[in-house]
Amino acid sequence: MSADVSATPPAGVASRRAADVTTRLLGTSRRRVVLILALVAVAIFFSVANDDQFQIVNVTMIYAIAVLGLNVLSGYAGQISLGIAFFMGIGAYTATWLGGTPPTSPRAPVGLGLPFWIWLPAAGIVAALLGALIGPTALRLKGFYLGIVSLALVVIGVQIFKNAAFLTGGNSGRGMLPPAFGDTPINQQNDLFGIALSAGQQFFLVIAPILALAALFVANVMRTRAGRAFQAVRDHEVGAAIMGVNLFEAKMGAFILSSFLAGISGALFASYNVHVDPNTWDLTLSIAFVAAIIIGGIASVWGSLLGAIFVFALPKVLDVYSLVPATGIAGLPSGDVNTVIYGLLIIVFLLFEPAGFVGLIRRGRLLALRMSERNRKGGEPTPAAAGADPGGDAEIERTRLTAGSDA
Amino acid sequence: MSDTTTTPAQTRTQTNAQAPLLAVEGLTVRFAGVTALSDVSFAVQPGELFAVIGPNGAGKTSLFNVISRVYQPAAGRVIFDGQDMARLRTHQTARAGIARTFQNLGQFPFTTVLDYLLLGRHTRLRSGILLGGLYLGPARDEERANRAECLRILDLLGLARVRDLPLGVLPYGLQKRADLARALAMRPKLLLLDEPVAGMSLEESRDMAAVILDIKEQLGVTQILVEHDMAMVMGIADRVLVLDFGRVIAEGAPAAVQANPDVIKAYLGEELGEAPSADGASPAETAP
Amino acid sequence: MAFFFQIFLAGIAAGCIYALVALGFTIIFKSSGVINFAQGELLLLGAYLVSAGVSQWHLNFFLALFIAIAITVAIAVAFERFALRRMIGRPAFSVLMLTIGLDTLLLTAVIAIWPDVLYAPAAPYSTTAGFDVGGVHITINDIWTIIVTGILCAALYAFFRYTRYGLAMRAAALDQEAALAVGINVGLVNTFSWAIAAAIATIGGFFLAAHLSGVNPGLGVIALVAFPAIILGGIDSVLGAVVGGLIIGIVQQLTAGYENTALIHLFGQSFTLTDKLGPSFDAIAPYLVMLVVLLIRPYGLFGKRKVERI
Repeated sequence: MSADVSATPPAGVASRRAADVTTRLLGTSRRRVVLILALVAVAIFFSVANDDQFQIVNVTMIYAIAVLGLNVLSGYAGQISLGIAFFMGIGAYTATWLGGTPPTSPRAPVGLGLPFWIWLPAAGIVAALLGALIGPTALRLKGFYLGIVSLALVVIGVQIFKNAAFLTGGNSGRGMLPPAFGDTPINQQNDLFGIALSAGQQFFLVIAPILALAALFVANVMRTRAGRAFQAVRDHEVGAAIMGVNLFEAKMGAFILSSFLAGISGALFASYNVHVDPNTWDLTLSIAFVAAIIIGGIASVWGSLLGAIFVFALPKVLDVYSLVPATGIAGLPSGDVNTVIYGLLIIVFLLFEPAGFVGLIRRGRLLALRMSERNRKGGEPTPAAAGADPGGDAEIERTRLTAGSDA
Repeated sequence: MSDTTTTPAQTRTQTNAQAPLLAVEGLTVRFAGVTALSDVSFAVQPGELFAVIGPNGAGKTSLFNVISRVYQPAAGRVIFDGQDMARLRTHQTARAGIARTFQNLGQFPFTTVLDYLLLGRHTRLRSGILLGGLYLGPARDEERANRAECLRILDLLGLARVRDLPLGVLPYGLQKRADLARALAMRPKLLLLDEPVAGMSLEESRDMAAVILDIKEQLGVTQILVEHDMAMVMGIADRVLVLDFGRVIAEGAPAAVQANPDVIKAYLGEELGEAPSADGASPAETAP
Repeated sequence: MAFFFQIFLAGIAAGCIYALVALGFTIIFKSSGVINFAQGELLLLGAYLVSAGVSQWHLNFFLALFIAIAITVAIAVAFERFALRRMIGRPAFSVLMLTIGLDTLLLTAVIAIWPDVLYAPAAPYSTTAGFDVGGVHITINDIWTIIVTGILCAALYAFFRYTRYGLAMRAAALDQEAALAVGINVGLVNTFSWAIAAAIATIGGFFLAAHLSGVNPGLGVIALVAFPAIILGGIDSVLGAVVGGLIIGIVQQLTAGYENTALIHLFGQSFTLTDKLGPSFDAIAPYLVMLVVLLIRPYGLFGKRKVERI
């Protein structure tokens, strides 16, 4: 995108053609190349990775869906929320109700044993409906008030999850079935069209397309009418209203979409782990998601994915490959070392790179661009590139210099 | 600034006896004891370029805030296009056909110029989250059509080259112009211009005056202009309303208003002909 | 009836602790418009420092308290000066997150330094001693909690009302720009408000630990109940923080006291709250009260609605 800026044609006719190009996500040949390379990398990973690696990647992808959801609400629409864990929990329990094992004893939690393609969308829809129910009350509040109310939602949610034993199994949790093709659940080795696939590979084949669809959907929303309204509401409510944006509708839209994605993520999480514990959906989980969007990049789809990797995959990678000694560092157990790392990362990113990891990448690209400009012309960078330089003004937060393409 | 350009339009509005596009009747606005507007009445005819002037704190922006339903008046009403505005909420004024430029910019520093115009067309587009997210059929078509429309407006206002830059990095004059372009993209019946040349250099404000006249002559959009810059207002407005401490002290043709002793006392006496020659660089120099 | 008064007294004592935490939130919010999510962990750190000072380092209680206050204040001031000061003009969300970052760091630091789960509280009096009045058992600790909270509130009231710094803080809270214009050092005011909040948090931490007869890493989360308290009272109201804290404390203790008593009579059968809503309902009762209040008064009992400008 930064390349596009510097290559902006003088004016007029050419600009119209270029604008048509920017309406497509995969408009430039460079982006197509990147996509192909990415697909090749995924294919290689898919054929060589072991179970540990699949475990990390699959779980991270599941979390990434909820990170996208939080980024819709907090990053794009600017509504503070610590409530994402609650909606994930709702999704998880909807899934266990519809898709869980039918009870064999009167004390066992309910389960209808319905197939994957019913419980997954249902989990998203129920979470979205609940969002629609809570939204009108919560969204009357702004800023910190909304943050604290969403915190209350999580606290109350955990209490409900612990006590609604008929559904959640109470304190000790309950089981859940993995998705199945026909009669064969995918958490075991299966032959699919004559190819032997491990559990990790099968889950990957289920989760990756869902994440890709979610990311594409969010990116599309953000470059069209509804997404522009979200961002306008975030930046200036009265200004947005004067331009015709219905504030309530926009906030509700973001809230519902966010809840839907969280619900899907929670359902996949339950199914992947084959077990749901009511204490999973607590404040710590919500905070981890907020950390993910800040570290990855606020109001950015790529940022959501990077954030999920940083917060959810990196600690596991460090564990699995013993990069942090099992005994810990300076008396800290390795789990706490991770906590310190992400606590520090939140602070460092907020202070020095508010646009998150995506901002770092963007900065790097601009730097490279300017270097090459300088080499080519032996002089000043183009005014356009200079104008688009976020490096000098750290206060340009949620930088959307590449809005059209990167969103 | 030449005053010859206004004559044809003036004669037109004077002969125009049809219902006004906007009628403000007995408007009063109070904040915690302070009266910002007191019994203000006026009417704006279709196609007219109507100016509201007055010293700082005279209640000009409050007037706009009432018309666009940000403030609730204590008394009086606003009739726009035959409709009582009290029934509308802020965001519905846009759909009713009122667009407004902002006095202070910087509300949307991260929005690119093109996106800003598309945002301006929010009420003209239909697709919601689902259609937009799937980016299929109607959503894609309307997105493309509106993009083309916005690009035409950008070309018209000489903003095509900065269309992918975020507003926050543009020089002040260009930001003002982009804001006007966004308001125009709404295709309004009534355009409210809140100090369009405040803080601009002489050259920039001359350009802006020309653009405002173009909007009137070529697009026929009715405009209400709130301004501090007397010279500019007197040069282009069809009629002028003068506010002082929330009260109407004069209304009429620019020449008549300029001669009104109350106006001279309240306003012209201290600021006559002083166009703020601010430090801002002209767009010609700073635009890439 | 004695049972009721017993619980009511416990509620007031707990409410005083919540009020102290809530005061910390409110003071920071008033001067700088920031909700300090790390307030709970400042309290936790303060509580550990006091305990460790007495039981590990064998200091005099008041010296330990002084050192604990000095350390938490230093951390809060450093955070305000070197981190928060850079965030001026950023959205509320980012600022909130920065304090969450501090919260995470403080919690981890405490766990790393004091790995044992439970530490005995330290106090210059016996935390379990008490006496009976008409069947109501009153502990010395409850009395001290109420007295010290009362003194602190009075001192803060006098400070805001009569001292130069207090007036400057109120001015900065009303309008930062105007305060700057009349020569108030707004930065210093912010720093000062963080220092006061940290000191109050440490004192609150000491009382909370004494109240629960032990210091454990969960104290910070318990202190989060101050959130409902400030929402209840209105984030920007000092009086609201105290009243909100007291209400939350009383509601919580009453729920805890009566949740196993048969209160609900339906179809000839009696149920307890626990039967219907599960155990430890008292943990969420404050949040439910807060939600109800927000439905009726979105800006709290004493809060003020903000006017937006364009």
